[in-house]
Amino acid sequence: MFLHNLKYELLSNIRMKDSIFWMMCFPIILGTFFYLGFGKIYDNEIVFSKIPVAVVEVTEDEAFDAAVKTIEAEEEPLFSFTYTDRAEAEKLLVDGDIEGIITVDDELSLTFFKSEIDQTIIKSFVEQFVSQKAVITDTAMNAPEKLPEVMEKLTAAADAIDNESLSGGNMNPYDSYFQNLITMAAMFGLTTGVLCATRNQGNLSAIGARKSVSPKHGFVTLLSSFIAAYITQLISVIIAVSFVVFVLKINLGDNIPMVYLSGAIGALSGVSIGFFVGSVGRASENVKSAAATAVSMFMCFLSGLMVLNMKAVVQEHCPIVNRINPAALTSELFYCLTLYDDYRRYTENAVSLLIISAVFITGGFLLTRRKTYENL
Amino acid sequence: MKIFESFMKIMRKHLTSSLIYITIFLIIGIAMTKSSSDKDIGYTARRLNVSITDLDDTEASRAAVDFIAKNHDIVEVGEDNDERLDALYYGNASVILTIEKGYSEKLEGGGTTGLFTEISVPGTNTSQLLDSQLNRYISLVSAGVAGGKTPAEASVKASEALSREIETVMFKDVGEGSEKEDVQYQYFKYLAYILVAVLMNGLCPILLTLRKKDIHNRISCSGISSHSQLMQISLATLIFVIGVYVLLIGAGVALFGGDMFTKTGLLSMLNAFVFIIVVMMICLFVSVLSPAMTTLSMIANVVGLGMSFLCGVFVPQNYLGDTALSIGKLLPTYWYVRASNIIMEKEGEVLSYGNFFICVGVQIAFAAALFCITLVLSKNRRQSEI
Repeated sequence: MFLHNLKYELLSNIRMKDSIFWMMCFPIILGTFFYLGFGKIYDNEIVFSKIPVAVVEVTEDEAFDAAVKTIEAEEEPLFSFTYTDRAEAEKLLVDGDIEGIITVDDELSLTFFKSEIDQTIIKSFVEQFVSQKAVITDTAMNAPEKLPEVMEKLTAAADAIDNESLSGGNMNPYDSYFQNLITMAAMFGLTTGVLCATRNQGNLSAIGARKSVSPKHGFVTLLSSFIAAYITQLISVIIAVSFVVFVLKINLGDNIPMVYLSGAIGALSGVSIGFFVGSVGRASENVKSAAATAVSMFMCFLSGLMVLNMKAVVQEHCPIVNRINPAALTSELFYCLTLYDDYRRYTENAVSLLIISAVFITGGFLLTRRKTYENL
Repeated sequence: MKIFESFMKIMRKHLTSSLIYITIFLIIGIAMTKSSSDKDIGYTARRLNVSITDLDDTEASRAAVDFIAKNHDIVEVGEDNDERLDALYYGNASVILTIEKGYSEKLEGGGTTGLFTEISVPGTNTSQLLDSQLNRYISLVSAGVAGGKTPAEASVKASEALSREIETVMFKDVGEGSEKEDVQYQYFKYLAYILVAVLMNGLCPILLTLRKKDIHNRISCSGISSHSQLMQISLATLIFVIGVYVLLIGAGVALFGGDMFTKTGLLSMLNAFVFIIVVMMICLFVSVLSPAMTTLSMIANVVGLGMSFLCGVFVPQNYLGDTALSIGKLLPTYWYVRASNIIMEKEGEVLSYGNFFICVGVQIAFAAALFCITLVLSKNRRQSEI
């Protein structure tokens, strides 16, 4: 009886062609938009590459020219210099071909078009050049015998920093948008869960009324309906994960089966909460669906779907929200798989999600059990 | 005015769900505005968030901490690796730096290697910035030590030398915006998403109910001309849209007070009004396609989030790739965001009424085109039903 119900529930879900189409397609469409929007930002804006700078010489400065030559001779030079006139330099600046103009006159000065990291690096280089010049002048005047030693120290490339890394994983923060996209696909399970619950309640839908008068055991009907809703949602999440990992080739870690498992756990929590929301009170399906959609979007917002570091902001001001928000917990699963070698933190989050799911499923079943209607 | 009355009756039925959407998305909008204020006033050196642990704790190492603090913001990050990784990933700390024990002694002996241990995202421009600053600082300090100073004295001298002011000018003057104006800019920018989300989730269900077979057939067999039907639906829709507009602008007034009635505030309100009309046309267009009610939230997300990401609502337009910008220009949100940038002189734009009204004009053209397509589609559907 259970399998018979499950089969027809699944068929009924699949036959809602509009819903199925959008449920399957929205992660693909949005994923493509995300990829077009910021697929290359990390490489273009965050990963360091040689900074193009124009030099406009009003008066000649041999020391500055020597500093430029030293940098250009380095194995991995910080800058690429172009000597040109003022008009050409300004054109290059406006066109975005260079990041700044260094004007060599009695004093060095800088012209920028924006205030980003690259401009700060250029400014820091000019500051260092000016200060080195001052140190040399100062030493030449006060302790000329020490000038060779000072010059040697100033020209030697310092290597004061040892670098360490905490993770060999993908540190591109923009990829968290894709993690949140899969999370959103899972959280749309709220709407699926609401429909599952309302379509089993006689006072909220015609199909619910029909089911109420059938002689089948209510629990079996409801359970098969819930599992069918979950399977439908799972298909959407599987499509989202496959598209993000295999088509867009976003790095979500090496353990692909675990990525699918994370989506499945997230979808379970989404459907469970929706099932509970749908079971509470006598509000219409429209109102419950609206509440489910709005709540799922709010949860996704808090997990960073729209603002990149929102999860960190929440963690700073109200960390408990990240521990109970299913969207944050689900996106955290992908985050752990991307960055961590062990599964300690992953397991904590997965268990939290499973507990949340269990609580809401139990709540939903308790609220809908043994309901009888005087009239329908 | 029977159809107008029916619209209002359906609207009252959907009022609870519409209010849920308006409330939640308004909260999201305000939270987004508060969490990301983008200051852009003249040239300002970029300051990184740096966490420092000073294991040496000598005069020289404290001078190094002071030098870093002068150029960057010092943040606290826990000792736990999870906390550190989170801080680096989400940008709460760009670099986690440790000044090693024996820093001062090494400098005194002429050594310049292994003075710091840095945890950062390797290969990024933020780590490059701090690396180059620290290496230059250390070469100046070691030159000072070679010149006969103690590490502490040389550190102070190096810091002083590196803080010489270099004349820096911006090629194009950007507006001297206040912090409040920046928050206001963010609010209007995020409205591009909020308006689509609220109207598509709130207005489309009403329009779809009006297009339900029974109601549609009843209207069709009445004596009301199709022109009058259209006018009544348009009027009712406009009232709903103006209601949402007043509510969202009212929230803006509550947040920014008198700043909403300055030149930039009024232009932003005009821009938002034109955009809400475009969104209204999108809703009318979607309702003619008669999607299932259950799919509306997904369509709203694809349209709202998709346009927002492609057109520079969540990520600045000048960060977007060429392909995204090319596609974005074909969408009204791009012109809305660009008009906002022009009004507030953001992302390299300067206030130019000509350019502003071009952006507004393009949005009006989008609205007109959508209206025409909706009319044609609606007429075709009516004919195919007959």
